Amino acid sequence: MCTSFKKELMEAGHNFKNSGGNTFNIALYTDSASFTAATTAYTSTNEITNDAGSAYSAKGNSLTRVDPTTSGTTAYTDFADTSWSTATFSAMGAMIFNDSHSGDAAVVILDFGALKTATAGTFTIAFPAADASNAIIRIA
Amino acid sequence: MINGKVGDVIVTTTDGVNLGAEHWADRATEQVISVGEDSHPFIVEQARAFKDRIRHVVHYYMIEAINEDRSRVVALLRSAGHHDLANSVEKL
Repeated sequence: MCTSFKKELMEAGHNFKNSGGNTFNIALYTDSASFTAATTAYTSTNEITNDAGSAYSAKGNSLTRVDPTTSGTTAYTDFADTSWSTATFSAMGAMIFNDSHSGDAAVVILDFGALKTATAGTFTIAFPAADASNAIIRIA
Repeated sequence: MINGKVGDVIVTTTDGVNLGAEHWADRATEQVISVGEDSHPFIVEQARAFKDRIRHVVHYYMIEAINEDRSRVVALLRSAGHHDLANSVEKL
């Protein structure tokens, strides 16, 4: 989770509500990308490109927001799964960023753990169960 | 003290084919029903059985929806005079 995101939350810089919230995108990156908690914003450097076709566009896919909620003392939010069809590309990781925020503020960095490749197929990112133990973004 | 945590995503890719109804039925079921690992074993067993039943139902109606949509495409192609294409789609 990007440190700048934590600060921006305290400045009311992000709205994850399904209705009227900000636009959050997920961009994919090659294994040359090197992000840390100090990453602050979306960058096109080392963003993936298509090996064939045009399934992937810069800044990736916009995500469908799910209203934030709580369970016990944990607050969390979720997104609907996202996919690229007729995809021919590889990615090692991803960044979720706020496309509505001036400067495209980074939210979280995701490491896929290995290079994932789709060839004339589908590239799908499934978000974890929306609960206090697994949800993609949690504040405990 | 407030801790921010990030969950793990699952990336699925295919080569030369698209993800089928089975994959999407699994995803839909995962979104609808989650079973707490710390629940009583009897509750977990019941929940898993219910989850399997829901998965089968979702999968069945996804196939029905795909067939309906394909029939619509075939009808549109035939009405536009593309009979060969309509026959090809019908055989999918």
